[in-house]
Amino acid sequence: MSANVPDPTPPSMLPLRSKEDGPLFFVIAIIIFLACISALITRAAFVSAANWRADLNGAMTVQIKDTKDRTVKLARAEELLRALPGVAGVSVYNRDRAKALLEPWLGKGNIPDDLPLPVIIAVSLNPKAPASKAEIEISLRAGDIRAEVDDHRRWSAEMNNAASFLQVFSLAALSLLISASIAVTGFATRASLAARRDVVNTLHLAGAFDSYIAGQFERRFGQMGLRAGLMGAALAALAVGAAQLLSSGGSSLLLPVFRLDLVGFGLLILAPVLTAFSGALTARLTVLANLRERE
Amino acid sequence: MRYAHGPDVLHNINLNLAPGSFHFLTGPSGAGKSSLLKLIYLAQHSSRGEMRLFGQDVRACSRNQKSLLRRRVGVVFQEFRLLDHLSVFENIALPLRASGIKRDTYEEDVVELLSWVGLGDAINAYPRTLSGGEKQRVAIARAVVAKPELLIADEPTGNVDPDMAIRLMRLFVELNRLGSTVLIASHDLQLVRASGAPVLTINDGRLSAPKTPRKRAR
Ligand SMILES: Nc1ncnc2c1ncn2[C@@H]1O[C@H](COP(=O)(O)OP(=O)(O)OP(=O)(O)O)[C@@H](O)[C@H]1O
Ligand SMILES: [Mg+2]
Repeated sequence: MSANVPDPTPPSMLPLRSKEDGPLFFVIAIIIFLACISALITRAAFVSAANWRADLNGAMTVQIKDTKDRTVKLARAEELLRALPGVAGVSVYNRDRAKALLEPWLGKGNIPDDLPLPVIIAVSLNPKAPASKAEIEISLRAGDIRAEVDDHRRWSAEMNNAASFLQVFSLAALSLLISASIAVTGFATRASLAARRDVVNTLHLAGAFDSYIAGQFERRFGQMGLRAGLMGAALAALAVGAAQLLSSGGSSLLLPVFRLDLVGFGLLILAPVLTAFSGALTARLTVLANLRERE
Repeated sequence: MRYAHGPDVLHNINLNLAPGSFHFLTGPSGAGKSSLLKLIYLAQHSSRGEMRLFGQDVRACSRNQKSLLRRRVGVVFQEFRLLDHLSVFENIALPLRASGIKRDTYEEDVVELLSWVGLGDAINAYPRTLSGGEKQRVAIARAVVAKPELLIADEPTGNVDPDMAIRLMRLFVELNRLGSTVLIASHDLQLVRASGAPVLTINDGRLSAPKTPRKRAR
């Protein structure tokens, strides 16, 4: 030990560790975890809503009502629909396919031949110039086919409402969580400032500029925000991963939430950066306001 | 001057310390010595009246201008005010660091100053592990490290033995010889008389004229 050589200069004038910071770290990490989940849900809400709308608006269902010459009429209907420029694709649920759909429930061979199964054609519309319901009806009538065309309008309205509600609700939850984390950082900075009054006073009287003193706290809280944010985002990623494992195979309604695509991943990366930034900024503003107040 | 909404603790102070002068400030406990010093090192402001420091009107100064003025003043606080989480070296270097000065330029000076105040072996020690007198010497070293134009010391020798008191006093005299204005509050009448410097006396917040007058600032 060489007595006359000073140890390296610590990066910050503030104590490295302090008991006030531990709980704050966890509170922020938890809030960021919730915010990440909430952000993923918000995004899923938007994606799902867009998908539902596209599915419902981009498709119609045609049910053949004729009982006589069904196979012939079905074939003709298919042909007529395909010929329409506003139709992108046609998928026929004939007796065999309908039976195949029912077999898992009723058992193979248990479906009597005279069971009246509906015959349905799923029509997907050309997204650029979709065929109208009337167009399809006219075309089918011209082919002497009795059919019922469903454009899902009733469904659409309900789905649109549900989707809008989900979007607004998840956005509101997200903004609440973000405000909470900013409020918590501000509150914690004030507490931390009070706990380190001695440092602030000594620096102030030694002639340090306000910006220098604020900078000490800014760095400290920026770093803590980054660490807590990383922790929260990592927890969220784990939760998503676990949910993905549990729901693997089954196509649950929640699936879009728990599928981490590039955008979802981006949100998780962005969260710690934003937390660090808002922590640093809140700390800086709080310290500057507090310093000005004392004179 | 008053604290928060309390009564006036200083009345009708009219003081002018000449650049390069050396004064003692005495008076009974509670008379207002520390309060007067706080005014001068810009920790408090007067409720009325005028105050000039290094020729600048303090009331007209911006916050940053006041910070720059404070850098020219070294203060030994009555209660030391060392930071427990910083080593002795870092405590002493604090005013330099806070003024944005690079470590390379002051490291040697700080080490030398430390051995001057007899703390060469405590360079990496923490204030908690020091005796009262040792802390006081760290506080003094911190006050003089930036070679301030004005040095203010509040009971700087209250916790050290007479030999060390004389040694520290020599440090102040040395600083004064290099051009710093020095003002020291002290109860130690023996030390005050021995120095032969002019003495200001404060009683119940009222200042009496110095015994060997010469003046400036405030
Ligand atoms: N921070 C404060 N808040 C309120 N009143 C204070 C404060 N500091 C000092 N006082 C009051 O101001 C008056 C002068 O106190 P001051 O500390 O200036 O005395 P002093 O001469 O330095 O005494 P001592 O020799 O004991 O250090 C006292 O009546 C004291 O009670
Ligand atoms: Mg005092």
